[in-house]
Amino acid sequence: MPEQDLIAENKALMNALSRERKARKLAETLLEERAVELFLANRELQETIKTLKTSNLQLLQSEKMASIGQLAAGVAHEVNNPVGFISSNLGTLRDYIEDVRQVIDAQRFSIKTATECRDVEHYAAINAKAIVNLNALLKKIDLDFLMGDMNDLLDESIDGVNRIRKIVADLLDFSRSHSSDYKHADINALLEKTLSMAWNELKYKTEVNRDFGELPAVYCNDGKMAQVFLNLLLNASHAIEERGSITITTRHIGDDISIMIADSGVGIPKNIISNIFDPFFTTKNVSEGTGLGLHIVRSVIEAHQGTISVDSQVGQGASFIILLPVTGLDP
Amino acid sequence: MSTQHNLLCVDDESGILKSLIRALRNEHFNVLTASNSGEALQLLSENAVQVVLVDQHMPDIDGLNLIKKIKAQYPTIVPVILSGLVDMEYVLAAINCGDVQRFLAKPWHDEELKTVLRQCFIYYDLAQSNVALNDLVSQQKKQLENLTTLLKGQG
Repeated sequence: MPEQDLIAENKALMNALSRERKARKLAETLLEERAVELFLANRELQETIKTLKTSNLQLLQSEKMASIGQLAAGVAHEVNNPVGFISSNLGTLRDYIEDVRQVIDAQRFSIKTATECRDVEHYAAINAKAIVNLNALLKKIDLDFLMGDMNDLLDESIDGVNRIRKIVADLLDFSRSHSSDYKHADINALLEKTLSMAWNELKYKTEVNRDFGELPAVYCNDGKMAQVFLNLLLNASHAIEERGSITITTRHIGDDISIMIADSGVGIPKNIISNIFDPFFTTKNVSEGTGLGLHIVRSVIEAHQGTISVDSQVGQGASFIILLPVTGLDP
Repeated sequence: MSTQHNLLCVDDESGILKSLIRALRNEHFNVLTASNSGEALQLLSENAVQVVLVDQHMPDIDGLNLIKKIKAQYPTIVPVILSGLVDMEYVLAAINCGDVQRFLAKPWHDEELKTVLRQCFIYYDLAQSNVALNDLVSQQKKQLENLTTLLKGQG
């Protein structure tokens, strides 16, 4: 009987083997299918990452544009004032010159008569009449006032032109500093430059107090830092409803420098203070903010191995405190 | 109207005020100027002003708020805004809430400015004479009624 047993066992083994083969084949097919699926999914993911990277860049760009847009409004207002009075003054000046031309014409007529007229009596009569006319004209146009006001008009207009020149120079200066170079920068000077840029936006409702300590040069991307300061200053200004103050304090503490930008505005409610650095978190209208401002601020500070924190209570204003290591990124 | 016409210009920018005085020197109305809200209200209390030309953006007050303040005290004054930055929302608020007659943008055109201001004075005079005429009508109506009763009593 052992032979029969062996045959039965063999058969059973053969069956098991064929089952296993079948199972393995099935598994292999499944595996191959899975591999193809994985490959496709991977390709899709890579595409998605690429799209995300592009849209992230676009968002950063639009945030930059949004803050520049806010500045542009202030700049437009600042430029339109001098352009307004300069162009009106030029129109007035043309009228003044027309009046002066009449005086010159009348005098030319007198000179011409004096040179051409041979008859003394006739000349005296013409001359007397000309003088009467000239006097009437001088009275009518008020030449003394006109000549005096012409000087004022030109002085004021030249002042206006110089103001526009300064606004444009500041703007260019600011946009030029938006390079991606790292250099040793004077943070106080950079704050000053940013303040001058944002001044048109700030001056109507804020009093800016500077408490600048002596600072060592910090190796940083000054363009990005200027963007950080600009965002914080514009936020501070937006937080102020009627009138208030912004205080900027800089200090050198050990291996760090600290920059504090504090406003007397509406403050940040407790329930959202932990979200303010999150991307797309905004309390402004869709048209006013992208919700990326503070997110970018934090990214820039972290790229410089620094930290940013906020301290605020509703109705008590808000203080943003930046700590930057002096030698953090030194080459 | 026999009363002297007075225009009050309010702007924190002295260059603007001086150029306005020059541009409007030959108009039939007097030009008064103020560089802040305090000066403006002071001048209004001392002079009969019919039209105010107010800058939109001043350090001590927003133009629209100043106009609201002025209208509360002098409801017949005709307000005009001169704005450095024309923002749609602001214009709508000015027209709908501030009762602003005209809205001018900086830089302005002198001719347009003069036309607008002349029209504002005409508007003011018309509104005033309308009030006066209405008064006259109701006065005469009353007289007529008195006469009618008198006549009826006699008849």
